[in-house]
Order: sequence, then structure tokens, then C-alpha cells
Amino acid sequence: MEDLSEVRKVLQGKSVFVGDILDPKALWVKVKRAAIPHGRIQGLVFPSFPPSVRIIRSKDIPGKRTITFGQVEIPLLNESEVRYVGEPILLLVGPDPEELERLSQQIVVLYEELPPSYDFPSDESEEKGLVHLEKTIQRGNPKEAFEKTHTILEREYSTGFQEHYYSEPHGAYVHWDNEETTLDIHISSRWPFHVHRVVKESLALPWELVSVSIPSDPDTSLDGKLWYPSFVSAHAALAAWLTRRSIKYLYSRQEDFLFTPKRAPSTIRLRAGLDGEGKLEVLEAEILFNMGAYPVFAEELLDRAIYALGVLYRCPNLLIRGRVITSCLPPAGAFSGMGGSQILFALEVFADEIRQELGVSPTEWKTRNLATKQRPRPWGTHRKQFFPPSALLDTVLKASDFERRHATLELLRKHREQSPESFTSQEFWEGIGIALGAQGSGFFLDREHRSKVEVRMTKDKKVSIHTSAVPGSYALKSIWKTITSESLGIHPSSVLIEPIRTRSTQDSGPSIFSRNITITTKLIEQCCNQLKKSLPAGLPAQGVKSLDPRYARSWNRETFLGNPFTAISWAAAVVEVKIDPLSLVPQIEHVWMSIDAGRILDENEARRTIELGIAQAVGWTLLEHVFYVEGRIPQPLFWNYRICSPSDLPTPHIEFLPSEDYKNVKGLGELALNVIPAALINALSQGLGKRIRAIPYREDVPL
Amino acid sequence: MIITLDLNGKEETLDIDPSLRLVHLLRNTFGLLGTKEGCLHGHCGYCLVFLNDQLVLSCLTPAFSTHRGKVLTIEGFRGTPEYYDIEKGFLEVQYTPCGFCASARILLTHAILQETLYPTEQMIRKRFTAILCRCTDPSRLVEGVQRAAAIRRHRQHAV
Repeated sequence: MEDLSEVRKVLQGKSVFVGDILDPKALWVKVKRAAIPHGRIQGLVFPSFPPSVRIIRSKDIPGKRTITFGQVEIPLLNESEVRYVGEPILLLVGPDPEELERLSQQIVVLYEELPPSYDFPSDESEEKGLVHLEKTIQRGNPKEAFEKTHTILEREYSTGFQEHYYSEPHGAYVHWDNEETTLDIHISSRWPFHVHRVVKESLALPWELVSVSIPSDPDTSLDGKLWYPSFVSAHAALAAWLTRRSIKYLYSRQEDFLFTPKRAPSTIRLRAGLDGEGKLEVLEAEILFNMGAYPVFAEELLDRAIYALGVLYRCPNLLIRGRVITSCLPPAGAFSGMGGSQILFALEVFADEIRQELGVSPTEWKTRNLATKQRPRPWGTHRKQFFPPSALLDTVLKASDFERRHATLELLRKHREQSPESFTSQEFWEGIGIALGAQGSGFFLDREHRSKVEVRMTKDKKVSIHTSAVPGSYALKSIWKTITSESLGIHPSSVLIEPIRTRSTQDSGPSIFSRNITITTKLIEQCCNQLKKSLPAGLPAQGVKSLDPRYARSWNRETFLGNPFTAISWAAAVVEVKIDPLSLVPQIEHVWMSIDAGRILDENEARRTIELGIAQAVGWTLLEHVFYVEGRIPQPLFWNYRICSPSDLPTPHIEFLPSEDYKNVKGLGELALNVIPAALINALSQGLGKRIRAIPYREDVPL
Repeated sequence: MIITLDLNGKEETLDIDPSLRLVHLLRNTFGLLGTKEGCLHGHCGYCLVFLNDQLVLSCLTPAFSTHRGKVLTIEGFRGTPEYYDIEKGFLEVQYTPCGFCASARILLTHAILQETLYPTEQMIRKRFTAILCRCTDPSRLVEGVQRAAAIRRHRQHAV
């Protein structure tokens, strides 16, 4: 049962976000951004400024001038070599945001233009200097295996960018505490302690002179607010530090759309060798991701992608070469289904092409090739992490009547192609597609991220949960309260989740990759158990627990052996579409999903999460076109960008299966992203009678 | 220019810049923060309010056009019996939009229920394309609006 008082507050319009903080005395910040995709700044020519306006440049930063992610250094302000259109050069601070905009346009930046790169290189000779990260993973002897195979099939797939489209654009409000010693930062972020660290380092301040507060109402910020808020906060805090004033700093929706991270696009070439029975004997893959100017989490992206390629099917011989390139585009970032969604789209469309080539049904080929305990995946043997028995497939097949529908629509399509005169333009074309997928919960890098939670009980038996994990919904907050109240035998109204302030909350790490449900929830349970044990000693009492990184330590990034995730959940999806034969615009008629995600704590919330994922997946596959022309998103794209709306979707049929791993809480937020695109494209391909290999789908596909 | 308007049932007279948008008048002058500022181009629908009983995008509505008009925002609507029909309907089916688009969804639901107390699923899905937000699961939204309609029918029948 959700906390209704909080939900009522939301429905009554009382939620407060960064943009809702009114402070008439606050100064505003405007960023002067790079106007070219690549070049060295030779000089800056400033107009005369009113005394109320201050210019802040890189040299004014008292501490560290970059944000570091592994080997990637992102300049907070860049006056040397700019690498994408929109890269921040300097800040203007003053009382009137419109005046700042005007003055910003009057600043002249002199550039020495350098050759830009935007896309994947057409051949390897062009890749020099662009490859940020490369990994090659091999199992068995692929070369020899290809020589022995009966059938060889090779295809190339591509996936596009996707805008996060979170509710509130990036922004921060920074003010001084009463003694004017501590900077208090209000920001929407999925990783509050990262914001704290970046601000502290950039201003060279002691830890205790910075505090970061997160708005209490979830704003569906998704993963778009993972690291970029740290960048925004550093700018706002720098302005506050140098002016000794409160600062309000809000991106416009357009500014946010044009210059902030998107889902990384990919190109994936797959080559498979099959034996006479259609069994996958060898798979070769070339994976390329374009991560823009600063490839944040490049290794995470690539590792998740490579892992996903081997997660479904048994294949004794494997050669995977993955590369992340840089380009003169805004940095790409984490996005739900990071790495896995791109690969599973390619793999499951490829699987459909293979079975078509072999002339067998989709399910026949899948069943023959799925990894099992007897035919393991290439990443090592792990109990509980095999594709769940046929129940998952059987459930979705039965619910959708897939085998019969697929065969019927195939006959209809063939008939239409052979006798087009017998069909009228009023008749819709139809198709049905299937795909399987998985989701790993947690970070490959979890060993590097702390995760700590504390539960306290006061003398009057009031309980508080202290975590910096940012819940994306009220239901999750409710789950945490319910677990705590049931474990400690108190009424849920006695449980409070402390507002997130980095000065008083435990560091629970980044809220991404279902870490909230798989790690934070478990830590809360463990804290309650610890607290219960200490109760005989009297109140107040507390329980403090940290992430046990044993599972993360078992993963070897070099050999790709072990277990990188806290849990793996599984899904099968069937999608049915009808297509207007004149416009080639598809309409989704039905979506079925069967899911094995361990212990479901709140089925209502689980269904909601899956449905939100389906909408995001359909948007990425069909609707959300983001592209750059010479490093810039064309202006009309912003006006026309369309995410999935309620009229684009039917009510999905979702079944949660009783899991073998029924005690384990697993993530499910990415499952739809990992199965729906391939199922949808397979359906579209059948309906069109033309194989689609790139998303987002374009209606001008030549038939 | 001087304008007079009925804002949430209270008459207000003020001197405004002719280029001022209604969303900024509501938020910055009157502190009515339930109306959220989104794209400022009529695209996202977060800023919906009622002007003379018609739902309008306050980002595209000049503030001066409210002169001698009647503006209703979530702050004025949330104390009414019609609001509670919707709140109850949403809570009963556990439909919880995010705080950024919730006000717009409440007001849009009210607009639908003023047109018909028997909204179809198709109608609800179509009308809610006006609000772009990744927070909403469409099935629960449809259930919520239809539940609110049932509650309002019951209340009106009881009256």
C-alpha cells in the first residue's frame, strides 16, 4: 500500500522541483557554449559588461577543473580545444537571465577549426585516434569452426540515439547556509554523492562545507541524471562561490535537448556459422559504439554489450570485437538497457533471419539453441543464471497464440506478394514477432561504488531509513517502508525515509541498473535484521549495512569469466503490428510479455515499471528520431520530437512467472528495452515483407 | 498594460508587460507553482490551465488575453468536489503520475469528464497525447480516469 499522503501532495500540485524554488535575490547563470564541433580557441572578445554581470572562466576554478571517469577527463569549462557544439566555454552570472543571454551572444570566440568526426569510420584506417576502448573476447576456435560449418550468415544492424526526456530539464539551486560557510546544492540527481564529490573537488573545499539535497518527489529523471547533474552543479556552485550569492541555474528544455547526453548509437555486425541441424556453432561480432566527445562509462557500456551477446544462446566458438569511438558530438551517457538493449535487438533480429534462412519457425530455432545447464553460456557456469526452463517461452507463446498467428500471417504475406491484385490498399498488412532477453542488475563497476544504508530506531520507536538511493517512484518508497515495518513489527506510519542530504545520509551509490531494488532493498532488510538483534540492549538502536562486493569480485573483466551482476532476470516478448500499406506507418496491436524476475515485491509497481519500459522501447524503435547534421541537432527536430504516448500502445499482457530463484529480488526496469525492439522489428519485417535492420524505423524504407 | 482577471475565484488587477506569458504570470507573479514550466512551445503540455472553462497551454497564452477572463489552476481546483472525484479515482487504482505532469493530468481529466462521464479507453488515450511525460503507464491512466468518471457519476446521482 502506497503512502497516500505523499501521492495526494503530488496530485494536488504541491511537488517542488528545482525550478519551483523561488529566490528573488538569487543570481542566474548562462553558459557561453562552443559554436563549432571541433577547434582550438584562439581568443575571446568581450563586449563591455554592466557591473552586475560577472564572467567566470576556467582559470577562476579554485580546485580541480575536470570531472574524471576512469581515463576520461571532462573540462568543466573549456577554453582550449572544444570537442562538440555546445561545450561550455565560460559562465555569465547576473541578476537578469535575458540580459545574460543577450550578452552571451555578444561575446566573440575566435577558433582555429580542426577536422571534426561525427560518425563511425567507414574503414579501420580512419579509426586512428578515435578508438577510445577496444576489447576482443574469444572462446574456442572460431576460424576453424567457420571452415566446418554448414551455413554461414552475415548481417549488419544499427541503433540510434535516444533522448532521455526527463520531466524537469537539468538545473541547480545553490545557496549559502546562515553562517555563509556551507554551500547547499538542490538538484535532481540519481547520484547525490557524486555531485558532492565533484563540487568539493572543483572548489577545493573540505567535505563538510558542501551539502547536496535532492527533491523529495520522484520526477522520472531516469538515467539521464546520473552524472550530468554533477557537471551542472559544479557550474552553479562555482558561480555561488565566486559571487557569494545564491544561484539559480536552469537549462531550457531546448538547451537540454541539444547539448546533454543521449543513448549511444551502435553498429553491430554479426556472422554466424551453423551446423546441418541449424545449431549455432560459431558467432563472430563486430560491435561499435559512438560515445561522443567524452565517453563516460565506456567500459561499462561495452562490457554489458559483450555480456549480452552471450547471454541467451549456447555457442562454443565465439569471437567478439567491441570498440567505443569518440566523436565531435555531445557525450553519450547511461541509458536504461545500456549496451544490452542494442545488442539484444541485433541478436534477436539476427536469430529471426537465421531461422528464416533455415525455413524453421522462430521458436524451433530458439529452443534448439538456448543455453542450458548442459549447454552453458560462454561466461561460465552459474547456478540460477541459466535461461529459465521452457515455461517462459511456453507462457508467451500460449498467451499470444504465436505459432498459429505467425504461420497464418506468413502465408498471407506470401499470398500478397504472389497475387498483389487480390489485395486492396485498404487492407492492413500484419506481422507478429518474438524476442527473448535478459537484464543484469547492478554495475559491473559495483566494486568501485560504495553502497551503504542505515536504519535507526529512536526511544519512542520511530524508525528512519537513511539512504542516498533516489527512488524513481512512490511505490518503491512504500516498499522500503513496508519491509521495514514488517521486519521490526511496527506500524508503517512510524517509518520515515529521511530526505536525501549528503551531510546526513549514508552514501548508497548511484541509483541505476535496478540497484535500488536489488541492492538498497536488500541492505534495508539486512539493517533491520541487525537492528533487531541489538534491541535487547535497549533503544535507541541502529543497523548499518554496506554492499558486500563478493559477487562483483568474482567477475574477471579481462577473461570475461564469472558473475558480474547481483541478479539476472529474463523475459520473452511477442508483438503484433498492423501496417498501413500506403504510409507504412505501423500500429501496435498487441504486446505480450512473460517475465522471470525472482521475488516480486509489489506486482502493481512491477507491471507499471514494465509498461513504462515498453513505452520507452517503442519510442526508441519507432518514434524517437535524434540525429546530428555536422555536429548539430537540426532545430526542427526539437519541435517534432515525439515520445510514445498512450495512443501508441495497447494494454500489454504481462505475466510474472513463479521463479526458481524465488527468494531473490531482481531488477526488471530494463527488460522491456531489451526484448521489445527486436520483437517489434521482427513483426514489422514480417508485415512489410522486408527485413528491417536499423532502428528507429523509417517509413521511407524501400520495399 | 493593466489587466483584471478572476484567478482561482479571486479578482486580481495588475500591470503587466504585454509580452508576458500566462505561465510566467502564474508562477512568478502569483507563486502558483503547481503549473509547471516545460518546453515553452506548446509541445509537452505540463502547463495546462483552464481559461474561461477551456483548457489552454499557458506557455502559449499571452497573459493579457486573460483580461476580464477566468483562470483556474490546480491550486484553485484542488479544493473542489470535482477534484476529489479525480483524486479518489486515481488513488483507488494506484495511478501515480510524477509531480511534474500531475497537475496537467488532473486538469485534463476534469476537461474530459466535463465532456462526458463515460469516457472510452480510446478517447482517454487520444486526449492524453497532449501531455508528454515518461512517467505514465497508459493502462493505469485509463483505469484512473474511468474510475474518476464513475465516482463523479455516483456523486452527481447522489446529489
